[in-house]
Amino acid sequence: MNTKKIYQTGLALASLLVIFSSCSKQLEIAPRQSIESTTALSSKEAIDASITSIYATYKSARLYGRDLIAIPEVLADNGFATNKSGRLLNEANNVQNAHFTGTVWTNSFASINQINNTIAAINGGAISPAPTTADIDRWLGQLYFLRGLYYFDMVRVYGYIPGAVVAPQDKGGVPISISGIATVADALAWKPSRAPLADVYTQIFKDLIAAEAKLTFPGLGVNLANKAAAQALLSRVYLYTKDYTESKKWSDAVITLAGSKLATTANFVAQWRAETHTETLFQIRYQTPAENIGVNESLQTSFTTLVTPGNQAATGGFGDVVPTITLLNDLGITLTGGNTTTVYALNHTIATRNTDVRNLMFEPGTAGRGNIKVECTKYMGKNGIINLDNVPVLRISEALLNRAEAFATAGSPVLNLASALADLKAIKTRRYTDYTGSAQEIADNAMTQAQLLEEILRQRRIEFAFEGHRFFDLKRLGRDLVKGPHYNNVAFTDTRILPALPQSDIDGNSNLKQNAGY
Amino acid sequence: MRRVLPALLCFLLAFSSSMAQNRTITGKVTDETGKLLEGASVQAKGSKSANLTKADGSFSIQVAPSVRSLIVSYVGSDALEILLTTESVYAISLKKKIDPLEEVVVTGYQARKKRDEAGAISSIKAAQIENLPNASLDKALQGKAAGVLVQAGNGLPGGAINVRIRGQGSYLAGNDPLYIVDGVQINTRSDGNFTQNNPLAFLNPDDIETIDILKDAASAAIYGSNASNGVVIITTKKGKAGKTKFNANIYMGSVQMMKKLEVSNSQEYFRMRAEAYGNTGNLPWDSEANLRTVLTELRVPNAATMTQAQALAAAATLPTYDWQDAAFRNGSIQNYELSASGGNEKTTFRVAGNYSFQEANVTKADFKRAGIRLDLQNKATDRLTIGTSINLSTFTQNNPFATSGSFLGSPAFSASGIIPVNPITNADGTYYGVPGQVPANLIGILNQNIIQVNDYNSGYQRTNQLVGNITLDYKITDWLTFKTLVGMDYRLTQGKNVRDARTADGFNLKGNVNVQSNWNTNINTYQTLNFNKTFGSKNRLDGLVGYEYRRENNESITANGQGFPTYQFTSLQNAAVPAAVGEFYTGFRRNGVFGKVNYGYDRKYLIAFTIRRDGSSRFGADNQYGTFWGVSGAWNIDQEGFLKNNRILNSLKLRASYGSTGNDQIGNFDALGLYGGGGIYNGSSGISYTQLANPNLKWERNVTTNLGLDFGLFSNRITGTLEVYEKETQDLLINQPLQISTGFSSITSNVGRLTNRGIELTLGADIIKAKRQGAFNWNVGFTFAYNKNEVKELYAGLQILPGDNSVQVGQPLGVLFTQQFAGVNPATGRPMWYDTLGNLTYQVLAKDRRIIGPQNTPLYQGGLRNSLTFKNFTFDFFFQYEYGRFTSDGQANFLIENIARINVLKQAYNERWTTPGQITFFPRYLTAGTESKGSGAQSGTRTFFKADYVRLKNVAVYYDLSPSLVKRAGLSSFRFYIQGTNLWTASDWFSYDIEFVGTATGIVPQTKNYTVGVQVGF
Repeated sequence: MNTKKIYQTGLALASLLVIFSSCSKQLEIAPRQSIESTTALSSKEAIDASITSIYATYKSARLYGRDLIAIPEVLADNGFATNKSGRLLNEANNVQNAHFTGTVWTNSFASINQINNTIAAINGGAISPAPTTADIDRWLGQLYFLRGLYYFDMVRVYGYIPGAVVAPQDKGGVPISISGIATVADALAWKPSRAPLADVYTQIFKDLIAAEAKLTFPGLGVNLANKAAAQALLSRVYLYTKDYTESKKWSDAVITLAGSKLATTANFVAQWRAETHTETLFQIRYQTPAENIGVNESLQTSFTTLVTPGNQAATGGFGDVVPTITLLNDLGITLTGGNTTTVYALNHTIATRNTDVRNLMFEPGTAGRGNIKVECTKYMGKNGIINLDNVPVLRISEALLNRAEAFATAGSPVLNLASALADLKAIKTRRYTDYTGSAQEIADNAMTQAQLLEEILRQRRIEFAFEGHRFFDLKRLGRDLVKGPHYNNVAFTDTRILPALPQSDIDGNSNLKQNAGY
Repeated sequence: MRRVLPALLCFLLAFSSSMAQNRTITGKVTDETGKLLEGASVQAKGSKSANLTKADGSFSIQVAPSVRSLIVSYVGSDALEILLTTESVYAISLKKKIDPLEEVVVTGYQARKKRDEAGAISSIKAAQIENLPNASLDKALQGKAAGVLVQAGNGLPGGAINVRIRGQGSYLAGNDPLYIVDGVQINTRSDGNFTQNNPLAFLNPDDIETIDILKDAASAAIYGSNASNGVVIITTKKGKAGKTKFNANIYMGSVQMMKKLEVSNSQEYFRMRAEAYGNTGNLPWDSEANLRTVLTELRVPNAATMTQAQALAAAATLPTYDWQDAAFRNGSIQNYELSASGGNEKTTFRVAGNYSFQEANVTKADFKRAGIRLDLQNKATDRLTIGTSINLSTFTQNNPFATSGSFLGSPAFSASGIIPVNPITNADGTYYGVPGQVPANLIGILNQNIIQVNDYNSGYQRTNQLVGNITLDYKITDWLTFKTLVGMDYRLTQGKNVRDARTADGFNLKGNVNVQSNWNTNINTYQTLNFNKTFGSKNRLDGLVGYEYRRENNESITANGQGFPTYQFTSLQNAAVPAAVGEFYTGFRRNGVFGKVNYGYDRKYLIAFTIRRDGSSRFGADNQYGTFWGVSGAWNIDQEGFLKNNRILNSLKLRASYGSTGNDQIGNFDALGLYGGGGIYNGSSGISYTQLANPNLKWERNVTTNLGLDFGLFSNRITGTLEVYEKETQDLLINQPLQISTGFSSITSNVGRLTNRGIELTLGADIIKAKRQGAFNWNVGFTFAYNKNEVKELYAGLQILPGDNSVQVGQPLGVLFTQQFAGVNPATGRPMWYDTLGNLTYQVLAKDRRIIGPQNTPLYQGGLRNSLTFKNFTFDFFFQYEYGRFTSDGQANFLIENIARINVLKQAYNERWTTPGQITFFPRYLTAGTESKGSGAQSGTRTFFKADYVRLKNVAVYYDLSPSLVKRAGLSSFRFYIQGTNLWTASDWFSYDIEFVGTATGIVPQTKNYTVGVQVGF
């Protein structure tokens, strides 16, 4: 090697070193599926997308995807766990810790922070181009509605409901967070305590009333927040808190706005087979195959083994939760051999049905996962694919039953038995094919206040069977869970009425009190 | 004729020797690598006749008839006695005297003699891992290096392996060591969606020359931020100047089930199911209603109207089908290798090709690899050497139904639990219980005909990987060399998985097909200036300074389609429903400058200092760079006058080191505040706040103190290494829990501290040392490691990490903290636990939990290797052991349930509670499994067991054809061998296999392998 060559090589090597070590941008790399958080919510599209994510969270199997619908059925007296996949078995047995888990808390608070940050971005004025008043009303209306609903779902799960409180075991509602957390410092400093029940409900009313004022009907449609949905929810939340005057007021409002949507005996079954039930005021929509919760935990698989109604040859899901004997009785379904525990344990066939069209939502499943049971077919892959169903959250028929209950409850400021009976009949004529002029109607006319209230509640059980109401209806009234003949009863004073808060939040925050018994 | 001639010569010579007084013995002397030795001494034993070998290694010596043997000796080699036979030509191979301290170790950008190193480095040579039927090299490390814990995750060929060097040093950040193959840092991602693809499976383990494992921080500090979990440096075989040598190696064999689980038969299943109903309904198990219910479930015709007697009679005749026999198979192993190496003074090369095929014992998992390698070194000038090494490989794996988990269609999970009444096929040979037929499924929860499912499902995953480098060494002066390396590790993983439209999971969707394509581009380069200078006769200074850069990009696309016209169509092109598409991108960047200085005085006193400053894109803007350093010293005591020529202690070295390394194995973008995908709703795609920014996020730092002692006794007949260390992890990276009510569950944060303290012992001994060639020789190697992990500190004074109670101050990471199971109440059959006060309780609470023991990593582990040689036979066997951890076997947990919803282990059936007064650990059966106002039967420690074992991991018998025969056959070596792996295990584990990591639910169990092979050199 001559000197020149050595020199050349040396130069080449030296320049290599320089190239590799001088580049100051060597460590730069940015993610592609995510964007910088500080500037994320600066366009109209971004606000819309942020709101979309808040709805999307509701699709989780831990919220309306399954738990908020199926768990209230098994905790209470509607659902029997078949043990076909083993799911929801302990919940049906009211085993300690088998309840709503911490996941309602986790998902809801993630959405609430998203709502808070989004409201802050809207009010911050850094959105370009500048939004119109209509934009802002549309956004805030939805966001307030969603925050009200998230808080309502959380507080009815983790706390007692005002008016039905076991005082020594009342540790309050849930923490209230209404300003967004967006920095590590804020997040580390956040050590909330549980707000008293009344404060949480006050916050819910505030949000829902604000939402109701900003939203329109039909507005954004039933897949999104709308005025009727806000009214129907107000009617329910006031009923829960025993503010019958307000409950009636909001029931009146929503019935005026959307009362015409009530289904009849003639189209009731068809409505449940359609993608969207005509009575729906607000539903969680599942649209594309990618949104499918699938064969393990969707509502269809949870409630039925059938793929299509009436076809016992094709097995789809597990059919983990089926109606109990007492629910079959209320539905007017009699099994061949009678509604006894012995017959119930074997393969089911239906001997007779009464004239209630709602019992057509229940039929024998397949033998594919074990013995045939009568199963609920409200969720049958209505969106064209197995396990893909929209989940109704608010239906107009509830407003009638809410109002009927407000009229019929002893001590109600709006006590009015005649109006209560009228509302009850408005439902029953649309559910029993032979109601008008029937012996049942004659008996209904003769009911005392107490009987009327019980009948309203019984109709509520039938109407919303397998829609996630039953446990909360018993809980808000402070009633025991009467679970015979399948399971042991659970007294309202039992600590198993309330679930545990996530232990990690308790461990990391001495301000937060765990529910009794955990 | 060529072969006849020497034989004839032999005969003639033999004949003549009986007539003449002296005879001439000739031959060649080589070292063990085949290099011809000049100047070796050949002496006739018992006479003065002696000679030295010439430059070509040949010798010729006249010996008297009385001489029975020759003594052959050479500097640095063990003298060898050769028994003389009637033959007169001998090929003699001398073994190098083993002085472990003179071995070369690769220490990071440098190769140095072990004597000159002060760190804790374990080395594994090719001979220890050759021909093992393992798809990836990490599995071959098992038990061979003290302090290196290797646990197989499962028995999937090419599956994941868990490697931990000196315990678990990190909670959140990865615990995988850094792997470097010929200077290229290998990516350790496993990106296959459909089966596991071990990132090291690209390399044929038989292409490896040495594996050096840097265990202490002072050694590893040169790799700075990547080195916290140790560094595994792999050097492949290279060519040597000389005649081109060919080597062929073929082995094949069989893969067999290690253990079949003994499960209950149909009558037993019937009985326990009836008991479950009876106990739940407070009825006798054989009450008519119960029997009818169970028989109805079991699809016995007319069961609903049977009398008790009829029902019992019907139950007695239920057939039993063995689903495990149907699901598990004997697989095959095939391996073919061919290499050529050689070269001249200017250029050396090695080319190698391999094809390897291995099946798991469950359909359809397998592993098929073809690879080629090229190593080339060229001395362009006296100063400049250029080289390259390129490894191209492709491996294809058929997908198992699932790699783990409780999937109904997975044979590994379901075979043991399917209710045995279910036939596998109908009378006409078609599958029983499949969709579209009557019945459309099996009886019970495990209702898929797994044989049909795995027959019809298809899918594969193919990994194409290129790992290569270009190197350039330029000798600037005789003491200064510039080295550069540009390395690349490119991997494309593509796969497809088909849930056939005829199987349960595909039927209602009319077929469900997923595809994936993932590509990973990993490039690294370094430039170093290496110096090596001696001052005077005793002072030696060497070391290097350098710069390194690494970048990795990982991208993938996925798609899912459903609704195919018929089952024959599985191309997404034919899907009616394009169900989902996905795309993924991630990556990181690192750079660093480093330097190392070694100073040695008289080869007695050594001191070294290392420093590295590293940057990583993974950390917060304020903390991207960190500095790591190490200092080490050693004293070669055996070089001191007072020990020189000591007859007992012939080698002794004391080492000490202290240093720091970093760990950045966290998510690539964990420091950033991010808005990401927030799901889709109502036809729109959402965004949500997914991660809070943490600009302070920085390295986790490991500080290790290491003391080592290397010794050799009785001419190195016994050698050993003892290491004692303390490794402290500071700024521990943790997912620090936030109040969930913030909307975030945690942030990645540097809080806390933990330590690993341990002792490692490596011993080697020639129990019996052969004095003559072909005499009996027995060599053992033993490794032992003890490691105690302890969390020292969390944050804010917390003793338990909120949300993860396996992290507790004063306890090992992953400690088992749960309620103590107390057996079954003999009176009622209900399971019981101990509460906080030690009283029995049916219902456990969170406060009843207590510390049970370490869960993830054993306290003690190691291996014992024996190698026996006699004449042409070598017999190797190798044990490995682990002691001191608790674990729970998810598969077995399903098989000891007290619900009778699936079949159970026969032992669980036999020992279940049935009668008052019975003392047992198996509660009574209930349809719900959980007693009213009781805790779930599997709560607490009921499912945790000690996972101690000793396993005979490997047995091999080699037969080497004698050199003269080999020569006559025109070959240079010929070896025949038989091997067996996982042959025997001392453990009372009651599920498929004790060797697993994580949950064992539905994993493909490890297998017993038998192989036979030949290795031919020519």
